[in-house]
Amino acid sequence: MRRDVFQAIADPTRRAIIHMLANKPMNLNAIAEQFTISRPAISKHIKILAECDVLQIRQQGRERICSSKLENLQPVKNWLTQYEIFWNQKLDALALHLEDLPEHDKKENKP
Amino acid sequence: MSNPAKPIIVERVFPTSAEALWRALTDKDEMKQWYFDLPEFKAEVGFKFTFTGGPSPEKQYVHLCEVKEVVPCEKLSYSWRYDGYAGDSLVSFELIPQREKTLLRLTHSGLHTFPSDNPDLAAHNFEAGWDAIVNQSLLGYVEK
Repeated sequence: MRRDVFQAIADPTRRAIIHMLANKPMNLNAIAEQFTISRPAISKHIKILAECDVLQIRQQGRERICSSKLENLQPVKNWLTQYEIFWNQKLDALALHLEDLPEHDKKENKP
Repeated sequence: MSNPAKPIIVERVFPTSAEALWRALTDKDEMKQWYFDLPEFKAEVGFKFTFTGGPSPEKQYVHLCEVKEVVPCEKLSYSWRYDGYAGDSLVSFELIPQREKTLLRLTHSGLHTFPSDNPDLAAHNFEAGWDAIVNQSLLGYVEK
């Protein structure tokens, strides 16, 4: 089964869990209390998040503390910004092209 | 919470006239130099063209485009969708003269209409939860 960051954020409950853990680690019961769905269902989402490596679970006494690994969400940001990157690259190429036009006087006017 | 249908806008000032910029956007020989190598391009409403490309080298798609709006030296818009996928977006180039230079405003709207069966194009990526992660949590993390 697919286990990557896109799988992690494909589900609204999992997105909510990631968001909840963004600022502070929480124990699993406290996370489950925030949702109306069952605790086993939340446990399953947390297991998937751990398998996708965007969350880690630490046993502390009888508690299971979950904390996010936000650095592993980078591909998501990459996806979102790739259109921006794409268009910026194209406009960079356009700028170079316009500089190369013979009729254009070659001023030092790089954007 | 940002608008899930928020377009991408990129602005750039070029040290050329609007006419020269317009040619670069609409002449296939010039387009080939910086954009895509199209067999033909006509700045005419209804003209359809296709090319293979993508937002990154490992993600290449067949693009299907149709010219929607043409105001010579001022505005060019075309639809932008992916062969085999639902959804339709719109790319607009606006040319705004600034003395001897020209501001180009590129707007890519409708990216949220792409389907969720492909994570690259997924509309759900633009949902509220997604925005919260990316705009608040993740950006906060990146800025730390």
